[in-house]
Amino acid sequence: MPHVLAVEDDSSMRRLVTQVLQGNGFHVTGARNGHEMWDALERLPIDLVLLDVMLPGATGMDLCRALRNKSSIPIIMVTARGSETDRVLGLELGADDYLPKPFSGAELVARIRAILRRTQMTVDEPVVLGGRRLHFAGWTLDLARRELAAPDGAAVDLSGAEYDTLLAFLEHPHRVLTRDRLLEFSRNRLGDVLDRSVDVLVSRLRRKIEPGPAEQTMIKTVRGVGYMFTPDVTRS
Amino acid sequence: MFRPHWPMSLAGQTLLLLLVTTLVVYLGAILGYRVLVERAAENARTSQIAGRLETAMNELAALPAEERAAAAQALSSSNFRLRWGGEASVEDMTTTDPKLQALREQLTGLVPAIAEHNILLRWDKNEFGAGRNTLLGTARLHDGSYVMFSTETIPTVLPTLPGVLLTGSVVFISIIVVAFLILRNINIPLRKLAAAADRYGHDARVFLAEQGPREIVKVQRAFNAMESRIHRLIVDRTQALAAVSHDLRAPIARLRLRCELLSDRDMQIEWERDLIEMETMIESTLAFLRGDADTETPRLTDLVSLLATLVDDAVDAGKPATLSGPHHCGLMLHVVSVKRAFGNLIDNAVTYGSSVDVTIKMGQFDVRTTIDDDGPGIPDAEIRHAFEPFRRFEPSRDRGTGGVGLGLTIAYQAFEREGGSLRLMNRANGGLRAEVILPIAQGNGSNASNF
Repeated sequence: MPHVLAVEDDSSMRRLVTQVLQGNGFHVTGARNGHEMWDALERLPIDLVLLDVMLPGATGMDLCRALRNKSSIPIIMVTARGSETDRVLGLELGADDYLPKPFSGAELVARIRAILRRTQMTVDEPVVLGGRRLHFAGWTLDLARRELAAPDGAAVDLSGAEYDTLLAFLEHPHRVLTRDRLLEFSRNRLGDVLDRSVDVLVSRLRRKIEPGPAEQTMIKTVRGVGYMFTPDVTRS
Repeated sequence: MFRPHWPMSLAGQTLLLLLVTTLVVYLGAILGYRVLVERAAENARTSQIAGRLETAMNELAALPAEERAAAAQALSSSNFRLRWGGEASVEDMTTTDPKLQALREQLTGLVPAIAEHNILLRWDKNEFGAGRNTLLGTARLHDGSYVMFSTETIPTVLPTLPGVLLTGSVVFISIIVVAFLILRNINIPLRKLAAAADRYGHDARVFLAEQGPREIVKVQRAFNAMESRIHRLIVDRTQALAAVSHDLRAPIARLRLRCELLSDRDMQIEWERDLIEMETMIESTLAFLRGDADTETPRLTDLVSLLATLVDDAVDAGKPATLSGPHHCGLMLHVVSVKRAFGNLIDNAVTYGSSVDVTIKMGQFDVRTTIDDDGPGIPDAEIRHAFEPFRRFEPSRDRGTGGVGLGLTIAYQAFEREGGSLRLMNRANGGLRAEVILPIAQGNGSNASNF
């Protein structure tokens, strides 16, 4: 049973998060501040830290930086919605994902599962590790900022599911990924994938990263099986 | 026909007042001067006549009769001639000419002795040559003989027209120059005040430098004080509203989680919908109050992918939405703010219509995006109010996802901040069109379609 550490100063919010996660099969420990967080990390086998940005004393940002310097434990930052600075800063400081407040319980659970799945997978089948940027065919995916840049440097907007799908392709280039496998990856963000087929997701992604229908496609369709990402991927 | 134009400006009216006043004073002075000079000259002449006449009468009376004619000749000067005769050869005009009557009274006043001598006075034109004014007079001596005098009345030298014009124009030009300088000193700060008042409410802050006469400085100070008061007031209210909106997020975040613990599934969905609506209202209020771009720096962004995400969201929400245009269009944008603005427009389109078509057209200097819906549109008379905050159309319509009426305001502000524009228009075949024009910043260029 995965053990989540919820760092949140608002006691009723902490209690609710605990309740929701416990209801979904997680083991939860609460911490009111940085002090309690360090204490819990020392004593308990924590699998993931859910870190609120707005904390008394040391802010969530400071804690995130300090935590990342010490360990590679997955971190999800809880930020205020619409605060672009919080989002970018949190990710640059090493958080694995961010969750804007207010969020639904389903969203929270889906994010935690996706992060845990990803970290477990990278352990199981080591793909190219290290590096915070992925390059392919002139494009750059910045993992820290979760941003895709076109060859001309323009930021290309991706939905959460599109980002996860693209990341799955980039982590497994020249390999056929089945629809089920892709669905697993993109299920990161619940609610916007449930009743959408992987095909729709791939076609939307193609439209954003491929110049025109006539040109060579980056994401090849493998009939009856799934898709394969053809360009070479490098890290930096 | 020429109709004099009444000056409306402060400078014009003041100048006119000054010129009219000066003209009246100037002409009055000339007139007064004339009268005074003439009177003084006349008095001098009269006393001169009186003195010489008295002397002549005294001297002639003392001489024997045969020497009197020669003596009279000797006492004469070029403009005061004396003669002696046996009888009065002057036809008196004092009874008919009031001027002569006054002269006689003056003479007798100056020399009381003259009164006894029965003076007769008349005007003559020919004594000193044709056309020259001459005063003729006769006074009787004790023995019944007469002494006669004649004197030319030389007109007093009075200001001439060219002289008046010359000094007049010097005076007027100096007045105009001085008045111009003074009025400029008043006018420039006044104009700045008007400009500042016009600008107020559009720019962030307006401050007037103190300059000009004391009264104007007072007005400038009052204006600055008013500006600070209003600014303070707005800042306080804005902060209060922002603080309340901000703090409401925490209970909403708790309620979002709490409602998932409800056992009644339908109730849970209703609750969630209400909470999401509240959340949307708070987010749009906060976006309106602080402006998304405050903490954002513009960066090169692909407009097409941004719109594609929004259109896909609409499709996922079950609304037919399409996007057409180039595959790629890089622009310098405040991404979060612009995405929210387009999101608001597309949300409006799918809220009031059943479908939305987004079209991107690249121009040489700008990119035009149109968002067309098939809804009822906005009455033409209302369109110009559409960007006012908290304005909602069709009050009967269910709030739905309509928020608090800030969507269009936020969008308008966001596109203005990008140096672009937003216009709304009713389409000929029904529905509303929102047209967004975003400039292509020169230098970074825009890359369309092909890499």
